[in-house]
Amino acid sequence: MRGLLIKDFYCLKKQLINYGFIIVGVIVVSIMFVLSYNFGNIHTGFTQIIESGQNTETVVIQMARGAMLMFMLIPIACTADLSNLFMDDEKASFYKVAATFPVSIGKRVACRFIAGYLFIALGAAVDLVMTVILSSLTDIISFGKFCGVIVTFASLMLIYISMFILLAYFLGNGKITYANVIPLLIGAAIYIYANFDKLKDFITGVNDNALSELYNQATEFMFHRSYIVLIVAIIVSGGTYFTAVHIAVRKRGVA
Amino acid sequence: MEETVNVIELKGVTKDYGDFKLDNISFAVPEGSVCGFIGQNGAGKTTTIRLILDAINRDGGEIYLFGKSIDKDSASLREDIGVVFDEMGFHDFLTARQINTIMKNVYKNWNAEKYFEYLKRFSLPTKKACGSFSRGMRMKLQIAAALSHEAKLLIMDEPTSGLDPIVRNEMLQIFREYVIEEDHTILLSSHITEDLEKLADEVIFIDGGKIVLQGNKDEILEKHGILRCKKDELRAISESLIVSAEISSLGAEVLVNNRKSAEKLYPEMVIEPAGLDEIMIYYVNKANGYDATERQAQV
Repeated sequence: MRGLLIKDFYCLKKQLINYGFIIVGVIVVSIMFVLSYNFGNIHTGFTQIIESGQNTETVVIQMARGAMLMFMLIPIACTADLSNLFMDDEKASFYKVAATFPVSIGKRVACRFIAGYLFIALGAAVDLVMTVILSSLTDIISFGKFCGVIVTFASLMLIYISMFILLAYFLGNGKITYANVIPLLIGAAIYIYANFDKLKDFITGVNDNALSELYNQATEFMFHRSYIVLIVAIIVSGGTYFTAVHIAVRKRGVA
Repeated sequence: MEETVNVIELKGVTKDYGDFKLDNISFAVPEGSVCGFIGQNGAGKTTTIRLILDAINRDGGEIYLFGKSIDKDSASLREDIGVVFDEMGFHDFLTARQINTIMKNVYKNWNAEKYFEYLKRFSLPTKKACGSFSRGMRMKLQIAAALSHEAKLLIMDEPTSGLDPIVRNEMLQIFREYVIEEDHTILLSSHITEDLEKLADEVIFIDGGKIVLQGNKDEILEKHGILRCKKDELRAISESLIVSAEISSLGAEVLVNNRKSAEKLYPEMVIEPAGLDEIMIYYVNKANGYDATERQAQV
């Protein structure tokens, strides 16, 4: 099983090199943002906005938080792409070779999940490093709240990647793009369904602040109730793993 | 008397794809033998191999490896099997060294020293991505990987197709060295009968998903013969001796299944030994309906 994980690592190596560049870029930009928010042009700009009465301090902090959340999202979102892994295996017909290994189908599927989770763990670790750095430089978001954001993002990515792997096995070779898109569509559909009234109010012009309210709702949820997403992620991971094994056994491990 | 141990045993195995059916396949490969699995492209060789490896589901029948049913724990049985496909299967960006790292974490008995010895013998670079290898080099890399985990059974699916004669010969030499060990067995699928004539002890002919002939290679070669006669002499030949016939303006060529009997019965006719390729062609013709009866009727 370890051999397959090492193979997955080799497949993702190129992606990891690109990832390294992205991370360095994000860390540098986020630190520059925080420093500018504290002492530079962003600070001046926000002060002018508040003084001119265009927006309140609360709104300005929300905007700054939004930017910080984007910085946090990038490192972890970039790790949730396992499509290269499946496409490389497909291109090389590696499934033929894997079928000759003394590794059960269940373990082969588990390798996929572990590779995905390790990759997300890497993203979460990078986020944690950013959290330590950024929370020491600013009080826009406290360390505890930052951790809530990491847990939420990591859990969402776990759900995404679990569904992706399940769909990759279900749809089979050559349909990895669908496996990538379908979980996003399902996620978007669930979000729209859960917030349908607010979104409708915004679109119909009944409530212009509906989007802002949704954003506040989301951030508050991430800061204080991220454990709920984590629980959902654990349940989804378990469910998708067993379903993926069932499908893979039926298809003899061919994704 | 020592009991023959079958390393591979298939009993009534079927696999139905709709447009192709592997129909009630039964055969056994004894330990220590080289078994040639012969058939034209699309005859069902690869499907049979994939069934043996439990890489696809079968619709019926039983498969045993080393005397154990593959239904119980096929994964652990594969520890003792080395497999070589017609295509490499490793990612193009992997180097031979990286493949060693993967394999030593896959197989309990992986022998890195042996693997690198093979690479050296085959003059394969260890740090170059295998995507840049020629077809011959790719096959050699696969063979090096298949032989480096102390496998007792080597299953090869068309390993020599598309290779030049020198590389093919080199590979056959390696296979010969492999079977020097008494408990080493080879199942070699190929449509290049020349290789099998040099190497195989047993042969299995498959066509259209059915086993058409199987047995000891020397016995098969001994028994079969090509009888050459005039078209009008074809009627005189006993039907039970004819596998199938080919008729041209020059006369008729008949594959007979008992050369000695044919020689006794028809001393005036020329009967020559048949090669595996000729035997394969005539059996395929027979399976395709070009049998002697029809030919005789045409005559």
